[in-house]
Amino acid sequence: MKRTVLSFLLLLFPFVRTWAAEPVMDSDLFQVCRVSASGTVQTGRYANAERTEQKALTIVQEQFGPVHPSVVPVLNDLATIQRYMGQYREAEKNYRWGLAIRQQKLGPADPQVAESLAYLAGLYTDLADYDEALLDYEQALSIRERTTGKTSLEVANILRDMGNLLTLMNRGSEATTALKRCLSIQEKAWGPEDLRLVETLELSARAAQTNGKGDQAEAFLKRALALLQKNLTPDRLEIADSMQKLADLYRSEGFSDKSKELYLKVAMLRDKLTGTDLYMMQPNLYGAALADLALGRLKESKGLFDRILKFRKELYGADHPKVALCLEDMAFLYEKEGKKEKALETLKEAKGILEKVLDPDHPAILRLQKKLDSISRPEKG
Amino acid sequence: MEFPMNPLKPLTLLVAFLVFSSASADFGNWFVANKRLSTTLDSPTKKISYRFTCQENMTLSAIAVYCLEALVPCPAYQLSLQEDDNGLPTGTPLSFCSYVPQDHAWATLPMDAATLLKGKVYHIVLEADMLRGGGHSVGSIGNSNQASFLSTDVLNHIHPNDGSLDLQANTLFFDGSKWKELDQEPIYALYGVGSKFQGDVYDDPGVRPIYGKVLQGQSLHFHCGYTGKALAFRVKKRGNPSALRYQILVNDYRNHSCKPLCPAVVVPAGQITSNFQWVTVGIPEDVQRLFRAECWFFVFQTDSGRAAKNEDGCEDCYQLSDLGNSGGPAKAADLTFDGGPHLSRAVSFTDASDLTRWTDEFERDANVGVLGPPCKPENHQEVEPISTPILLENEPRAEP
Repeated sequence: MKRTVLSFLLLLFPFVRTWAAEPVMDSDLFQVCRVSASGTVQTGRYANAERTEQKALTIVQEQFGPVHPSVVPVLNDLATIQRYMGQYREAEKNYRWGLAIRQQKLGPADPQVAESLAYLAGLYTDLADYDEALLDYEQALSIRERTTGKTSLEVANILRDMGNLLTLMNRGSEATTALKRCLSIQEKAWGPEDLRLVETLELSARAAQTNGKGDQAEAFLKRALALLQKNLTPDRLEIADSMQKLADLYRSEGFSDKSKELYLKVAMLRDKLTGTDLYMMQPNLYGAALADLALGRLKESKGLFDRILKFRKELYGADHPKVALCLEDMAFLYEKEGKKEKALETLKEAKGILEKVLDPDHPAILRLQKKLDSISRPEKG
Repeated sequence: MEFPMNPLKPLTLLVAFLVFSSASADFGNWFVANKRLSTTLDSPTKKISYRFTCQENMTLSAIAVYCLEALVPCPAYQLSLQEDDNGLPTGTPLSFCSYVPQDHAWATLPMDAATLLKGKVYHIVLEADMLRGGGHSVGSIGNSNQASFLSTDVLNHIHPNDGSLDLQANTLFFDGSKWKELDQEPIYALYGVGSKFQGDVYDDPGVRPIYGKVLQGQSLHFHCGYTGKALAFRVKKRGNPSALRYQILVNDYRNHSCKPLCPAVVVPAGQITSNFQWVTVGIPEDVQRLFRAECWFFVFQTDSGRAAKNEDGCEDCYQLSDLGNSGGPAKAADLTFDGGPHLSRAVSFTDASDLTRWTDEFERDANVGVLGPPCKPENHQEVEPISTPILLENEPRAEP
C-alpha cells in the first residue's frame, strides 16, 4: 500500500516541480558533506552525521529535483545513519523513497533497484518484519541473477543476508542452502583461504545450529577461526570474537568444559586488547563482559557492563535498542547474582525502551516478556 | 634502440581494453573505424535505431545524424529518442522531430526537452514520416525516393571521447517485421542544455601513410603527470618497407618546435602484417616517468617508400589508421577523443629533418595510445556507501 502511495506521488511530481533548466550545484560543498558524514559515522557521532547528510541531500535535491536518481545514494546513507540511531521509521521512509525513484526512473529490473531492495530488507530484518524482508531479498536476488549472472558476488551478498534472515525465521534448512550457495560463489571468486569468507562461515554455523546440527556448526566456526588465525596477528579482536562464538556454541550445546577453556583464552586475549577510544574499544569490552559472565566472574562483568551502559546511553541516547540489549544482558547477570527484583526491574526498563521503537510482536520484546514471566513466576516447592 | 614487441590480435586488444578501461588507466585513441556503412530506409515500415548508453545526465536540446545518400525528391523522416526495452526501442518517443535529409551531410535537429539519465540505454530511431508533420499522407518512399544513414565498421563498445565502456552501443534495423542488431557503430550526436554533448561523430575512417621523410602520429595531452610503460598503435604495411621507428617528441611551444625525448625505437618490419593490427612496444625505461601533463608527439617513420597514386597513397610504406569528422555537427572536436580542450590530435611532419614544421589536424585522431597506470582520481568521485549496522539479532548476547 505504502509503495502504491509513493508511486502515485512520484507520478504527480512532474506537475509540481519542473526540472531545473541549468542547474548549478555547490559540488565542492556537496562532496565535503558526503565525505564528512561518512567519516563521522565511523566515530559514532550519528547526530552530527545526520545533520551533514541532510545538508548534502538539500544540495543534490536543489540541483536535480527531489526525484532524480542522483538523490538516492544520499537518501540511502541518510537512512543508514538513522538506522544506527534507532530511528527505524525515518530510515524506512528514506529507503522507500529511494527505491520508488529508482523503480520509476531506471525501471524495475535495474541493478540499483536491487541495491535499494536489499537495504530495505536489512531494515525489515531488524524490525522483525521477516516476510516483507524475504520478499525484498527474493526480488533483489532475481534482479541480480538476471543482470550480473547467477554466480556473481552481488548474488552471493544477497544469498548471505537471505541465509541470515531464514535462520532468524527458524527455516534452518533453507538458510543452509542459501549460505552454501553463497559460500561456493565466494570461494570460487576469492579462493578458500580468504578472510572475507569468515562472515559467511559464521552465519552458516548459526544456520546449522538452528537445524540441530551442532557438529556442522562447530566445523564452520573452527574453519572461520583457523582462517583468522592464519591470516591475522594473534592480538586481533576478530580472533577473540571468533573464539567466543565457538565458546558460545559449546556452552549452548552443553560442553561446559570445552566452553570454559575457550572463554578463559578469550578473556586473556581481550585483556591485551586495550585502547583509549571507548567507541572503538566498545565491542571488545562488551565481549569481555560476556566472557566474564560466562565464566562466573560476576563482579568483573558487572563493572564492564556499567561502563558500557553509561557509554551507550551517552552515545545513542537512553531510548536506543542497544541500551535495551545491554540492560537485558545485565538482567541476566543480576539473576545469576540472585538479585531477582533488580533483574525484573532491569528487564522492564529494557522492554519499555524496545516498545518505543519496535512493534509489540518483535522477537526481542517477546523474549523479554518471556523472561519477565519466568522470573516473576513463583518457585515451586 | 630495439624493444620487444607484441602484436595483438583485435580480440585480444578488445579484451585487454575491457580490463584496462575499468581502471581508466591507458590514455589514447582506441576507437576504430575501418569503413563507412549505410542502412537504407526505402519503405514506410523500415526503421533504424542507434542504441547507446547515456554518458551523463542531460536535458536534451538537439540530435544530429548523418545522411550518407539521399535520392531526390527525398522523403521526410521522423527522428525520435526512445527508451530501451530489453535491447529494443519502446516505440514511444520521449521527443521527436521531422526532417528531410540531404546527401552526405549532418543534420542537427532541435528536439523538445527530455531528461536523459547517465547509465541508462536509449535509442535514436529513424523512420519514414509519411505525413511530414501534417494530417494526411504527402510523401512517397521507394527505390527512387529514399535516404541512407551512416554507421561504421567496427562496433567498438566504447564511447569515443573518453574510452569509457558502452556495451549496449549498436545499430539496429527493423525490416518491417522484426529488429535485428547490425553490429555496426552508431553515428550520432546528442546535445543538451548547458553545453552538454555526447555521441560518435567519427564519420570519416582514414589512413595516414608513413614513408620517407613523411612522419605520421598523434599528439597526446596527458591529464596528469603520467608513467607510460608502452606504446600501442594500429598499423599495417604495404609492399616491403624497412623497419618502422617511433619517436617521442617534446613540444617546445615557446619556439614552436619539437625535439626528440629519446632515440627512436625500432620496430622490425617482419613484426607488422599487411592488415591493420594493434602493436604494443615498450617505452624506454629512462623516459617512462617523464610525461608531464603536456602535449607529447608520438610519431612514426620509415626510411623506405614513396608517395603513390594507389588506394593507400604510398608504396613500401606503413599506414597508421585514423578517423575523423568530415565537418557539420557542432562541438565535433569536443565529441572526438580527449574532448574538451582537445589538445590530442593527429599530427604529421612532411620533412623529418625539420621538426619545426608539422600539421596537426583538428577533429582527426590516429589510433595511438600509451599504456600505463591511471591518473589519481579526481575529487568528485562517488562516496562509498556507509556500511549498515550489525542486525540487532546478530549482536553478541549473554545467552547464545
